[in-house]
Amino acid sequence: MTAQKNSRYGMVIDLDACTGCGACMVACAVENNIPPAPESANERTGITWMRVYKVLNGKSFPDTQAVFVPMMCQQCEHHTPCISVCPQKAVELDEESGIVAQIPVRCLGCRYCMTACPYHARYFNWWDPVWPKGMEQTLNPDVAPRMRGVVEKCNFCHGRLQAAKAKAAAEGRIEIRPEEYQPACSDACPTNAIVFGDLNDEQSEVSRMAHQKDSFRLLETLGSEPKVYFQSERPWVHHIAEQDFASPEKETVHG
Amino acid sequence: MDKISRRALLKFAGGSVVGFLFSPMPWKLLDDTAKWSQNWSWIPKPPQGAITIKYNTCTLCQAGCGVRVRCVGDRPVALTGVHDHPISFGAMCPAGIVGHHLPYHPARVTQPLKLTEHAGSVDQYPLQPDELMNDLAKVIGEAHSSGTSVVFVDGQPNRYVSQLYRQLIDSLPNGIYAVSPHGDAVSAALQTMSERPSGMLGYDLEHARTIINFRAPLMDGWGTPGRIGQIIKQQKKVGVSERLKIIHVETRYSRAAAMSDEWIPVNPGADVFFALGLAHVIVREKLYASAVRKTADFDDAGISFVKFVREFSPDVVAPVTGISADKITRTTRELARHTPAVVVGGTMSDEEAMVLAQLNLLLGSVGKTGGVVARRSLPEIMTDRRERSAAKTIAQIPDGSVHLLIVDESAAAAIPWQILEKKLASEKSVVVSIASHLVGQTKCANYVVPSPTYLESLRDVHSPEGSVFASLSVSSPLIKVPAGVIEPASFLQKLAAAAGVPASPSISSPEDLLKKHVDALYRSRRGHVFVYANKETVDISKIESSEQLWKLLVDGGVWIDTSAEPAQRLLFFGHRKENYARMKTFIEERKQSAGKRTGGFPLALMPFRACGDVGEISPLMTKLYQESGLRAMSNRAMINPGTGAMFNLIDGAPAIVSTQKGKMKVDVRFDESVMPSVLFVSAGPDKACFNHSTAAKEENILLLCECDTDSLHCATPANIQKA
Amino acid sequence: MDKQYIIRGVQRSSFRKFIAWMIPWAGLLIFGVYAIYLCLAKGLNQTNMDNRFAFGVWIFLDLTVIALGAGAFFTGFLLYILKKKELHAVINSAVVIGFICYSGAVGVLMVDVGQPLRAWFTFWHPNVHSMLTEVTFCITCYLTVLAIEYVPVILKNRKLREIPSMLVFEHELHKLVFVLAAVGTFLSFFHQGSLGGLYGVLRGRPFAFREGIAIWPSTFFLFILSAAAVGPSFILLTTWLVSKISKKRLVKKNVLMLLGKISGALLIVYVLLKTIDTLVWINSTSPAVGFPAYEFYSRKPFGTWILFTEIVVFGLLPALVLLSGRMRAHVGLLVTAAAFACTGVALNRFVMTIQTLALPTLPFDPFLSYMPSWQEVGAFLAVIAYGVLVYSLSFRYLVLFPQERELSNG
Repeated sequence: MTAQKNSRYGMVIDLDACTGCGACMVACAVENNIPPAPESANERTGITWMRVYKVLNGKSFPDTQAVFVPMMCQQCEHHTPCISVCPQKAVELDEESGIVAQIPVRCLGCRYCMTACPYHARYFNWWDPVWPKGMEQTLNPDVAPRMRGVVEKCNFCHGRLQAAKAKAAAEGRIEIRPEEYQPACSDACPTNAIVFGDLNDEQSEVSRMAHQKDSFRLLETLGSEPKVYFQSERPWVHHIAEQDFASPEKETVHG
Repeated sequence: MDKISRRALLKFAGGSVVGFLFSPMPWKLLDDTAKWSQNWSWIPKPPQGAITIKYNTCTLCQAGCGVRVRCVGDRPVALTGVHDHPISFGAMCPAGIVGHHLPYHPARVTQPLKLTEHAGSVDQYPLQPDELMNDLAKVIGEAHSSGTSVVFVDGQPNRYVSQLYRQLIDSLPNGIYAVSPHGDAVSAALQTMSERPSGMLGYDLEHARTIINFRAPLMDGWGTPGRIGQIIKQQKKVGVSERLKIIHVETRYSRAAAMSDEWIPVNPGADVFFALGLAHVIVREKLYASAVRKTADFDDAGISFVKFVREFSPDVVAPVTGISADKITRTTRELARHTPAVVVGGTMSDEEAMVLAQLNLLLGSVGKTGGVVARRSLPEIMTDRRERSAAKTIAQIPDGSVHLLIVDESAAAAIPWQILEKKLASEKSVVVSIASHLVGQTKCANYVVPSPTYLESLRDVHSPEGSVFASLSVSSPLIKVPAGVIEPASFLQKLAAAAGVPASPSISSPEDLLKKHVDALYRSRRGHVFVYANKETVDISKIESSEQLWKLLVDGGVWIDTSAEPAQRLLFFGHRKENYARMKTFIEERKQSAGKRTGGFPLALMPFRACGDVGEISPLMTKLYQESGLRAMSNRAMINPGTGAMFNLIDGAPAIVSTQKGKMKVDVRFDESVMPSVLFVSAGPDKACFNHSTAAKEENILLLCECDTDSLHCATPANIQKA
Repeated sequence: MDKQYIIRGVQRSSFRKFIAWMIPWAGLLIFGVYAIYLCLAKGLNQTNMDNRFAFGVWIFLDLTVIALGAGAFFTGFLLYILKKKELHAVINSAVVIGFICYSGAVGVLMVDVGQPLRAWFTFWHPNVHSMLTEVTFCITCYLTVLAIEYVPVILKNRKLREIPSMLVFEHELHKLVFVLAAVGTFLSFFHQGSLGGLYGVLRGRPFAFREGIAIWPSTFFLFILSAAAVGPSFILLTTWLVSKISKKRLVKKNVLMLLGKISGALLIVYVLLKTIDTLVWINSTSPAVGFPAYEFYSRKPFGTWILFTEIVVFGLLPALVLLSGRMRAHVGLLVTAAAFACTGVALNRFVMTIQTLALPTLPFDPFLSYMPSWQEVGAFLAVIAYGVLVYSLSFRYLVLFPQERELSNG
């Protein structure tokens, strides 16, 4: 029996290809049984594991330019900010896949992990999850809805990884094929702006793209080694990863 | 028996407490409460069942994307694209991805309703189907006796079922079948310019080197999301110098503008002058395609295009458009140098569209690879001349002439209510909306006829907007229609019967009609079929029977034509003499109105909406509209921070917008990309799409705007102040 | 009416007057309990916290209250371990205040977490790397210690002393007091530190993140020191306040001055270390992770004034006043300086909680604002009302200030 090599699942997002359509956001919500917002929810209390931000270049009309930045849990690998802070081990880094997992049934909802996350990728269930009557018929049977009062976040559609592994096992394989495991967002992207795969696999498109010179990560200086890369040919877009892009005069985000 | 003392009782109680604490009970209870919190009964449990994959075609818009449906025990739980689909390329828009929620939407209508408006809310009274028919038969009788008409407005007239609707409406006394302006205005204009009007036209964007786009939401609902996605993806693979260049002309920095290589922010309503400026430079610098000189009205003594554009030199149009003369000249030269160049337009007036069509003609892109090409029409089975003649548009229905107005759901979504209202003859005139959901303008109707929604009925989808080849796919029902819902065709049949019209002879049902068309298509021996399930392309000659073709389509397949139609000879102003005069008048009017500001209304109010912003959408779309700022919910106002400060507005706070038509509350967002002195207000989705109450009357900014047709590009003089 | 329950030798207001004092506080408590009920029954959507402002006014005030409640452990430490006998005059009051502060804070925390029924999971599946685990363990243990320390104070009640077994129990407990003081001190040191560590470890929040010694970031030590410094100040302040309200002399002036002196001495050390820490953070820690510190103070309303106010106005200034024997002798100055010191710590906890969360981390984030909802304010008012009620009852029926009898008779 051979020991299975660990994977490091990650993404490269081509910001020049993202049209900001939001298909990834709803595909994510469908896959992960995230409920529609109650009437009083807003941009800061809603649950969007995947969220597309519209970021402007900070210049006034007519020199304004925008880039759409899809943001989800960046799956930090080193000093993962949210893992060490959780008092009761409701957040774990899965060594085998590199995925940062959230265990909702163990979460007590202290929200310490949310203050720890610099990417704002964690969401709290401020309300009970409610689907309009009958709409629970459309829920994905593979994912359990969460209860009020717990934190949740993107897990690279971890359920799909389990399904792919089960399928491979049924066919007598240990390794899964790259196309067998894609999260809902990369699956739904009309321009294939989200490339997903194993960063440890040197043959994979994602690992090739991650090493291109156009690629960068957000808040790299924090040293948390996120596994989500961004790419753009536009020089100004690279500035969104730099702190001096931010200044109090530039309230540039709408997302 | 001894008397129980107080002390003994206390001791007993104390002992019990201590004993309880040392028993396993408290731990068990503690554990149970935690388990309870993990299994709250009010948290829905996803229903389980056998998992199957089915294939279908999305009918939410004209795009007709291929859909792979994951079903659990016959219930669709996830819709994803069909990879390698020749039209949708595996992509879907967000509204399509959550389309399977529509049957369960809280605003769903499952029985006929009578609506009355009362103090800002809409009261609903359920009716029996017979009551509805009796009421409407009476209205038809009144129309007959008063000489007013019964009009049916079809929002998707290019479907085959529309022919059935038309047949039924035409059979009514004073019945008029009308269509809402739809599809591509530039393509329609090109048709009026040709010798023999034929089918619609397509844009060969894949082979173009320059696209100049006037407001078409290229990345936001134009064509299919997958097609544009493919173009973007392909561009990344070629060298920078060989890439397609997209120039976007629009006042607003829309998503399409953001995704373009260059954004030309023209002043509100001045797009046509920018286009005329381009045409002027092309003519002046002789940058036009050589064949153009041979066009009869290019430089004729009578009707002359050269003469028409002479006055629109860059220096003249620069102040009107807000774009410098130099920029106009440079853009023109770039267009002429990087051919094939194609001019694309969004919703606009016929006259504006004609100017863009003329630009296409000038650039020599008509009938060329990488330009505008004609799509072949699908075979028709209706042979009645009246049925084949062009249907009236809503604009052609005289104001105050309609006593019974029947609007289908997509028309109700697309046409601003004040336009429909103007058509009504009197206070007593009746509006019937055939709708599956009580959202948006459907709430303005007097009666609602519940209709099947997406995935509940058999529907056909034809060639998407701008496609080069004709196509046809059929969506078959996956979900059982709720009791009480009426198929529109059967409603119209019943209506005709109630009005005393004998039953229509030729076609009995939509299915029958569709099958007849598929049969005609089969017999034409054109094209091929892409089968979703196995991703195979089958030539029509390999298909054994028309039944087999039907089955392929119904089980998930798309028929696509293999060739386009040959190019036609065009004239700049077409063959109708009045076109030239009409264009002259239009331009004069626009000159008068461009940049005009009324005293108390210093701002230009421009409503905007994107694909999926109208009609019913899944409540889950709150992710885009409410839980993130990616899209604007209705009545969100975008204003330049400078202008906002001038009007003492606060970013994120409510404000009141006023025009000559009234006032409305909006929610202000400052946005650097907004042109100063312009106010963009979202005419986006009705809040009833998301909220569980449908009773509130719709408050859409369009009600404050001056709308002529369905166009949203008109700027209305407006004012704004802090709420 | 309740004469037989009141301690011998001291004067207390009439029962009617006492009830009149208690009723408004009870009303406030009922209002607060209603707010708490809403939060528990309907969920935390009743608050104005959100995904970006995941901590709000509750956490800020909890931290403040726990810092102020530090007077209990520190006075105990000084009295029983360092044998500062004068402090015997305030120890009972300090224990009651400590108990109120800690139990109140724990109560609010139980509302603040989304799933209070699972709070005990921390004991069952503890993540030993989490500062919050440390906080939870220490606070619950210390609350138990405080409760045990509170018992002898209660048992000294006139009526209860009539029961012989109670007297024996009290006597036995009293023998334990040194052990309890030692355990309490140890626990308190740890959780005050962990509360500081809570922010110091936030790698993703460069405004709060600090380098550290061993596994503890510098905020760990600064929180211990600042809590120890203001604890005595708060005892001083409350003693003075109770004395004003009850119009009684409760302790000798030298006790208040001693409390002030201790507070001042610790505060000056704290101010020095806090200044060093701030300089290291500005010049090294923050820029090292790509965040120039001036950026943090370029966003209104949190300019550098907040740093100056915290360290100088509410830190250095009261420290100097408290250290000067002459100024300390002036009760007005003494009390004002103590109030300033307490405000300084509250401001520090505010900065660590609220400013940390308001500041952007992603370059394209906006600066955020947050205003608590009435339910959040109400829930906290419940704690204040609860504190006043418990303290008032204790003051009336228990011996909080042993010197009072002597002072009122003399």
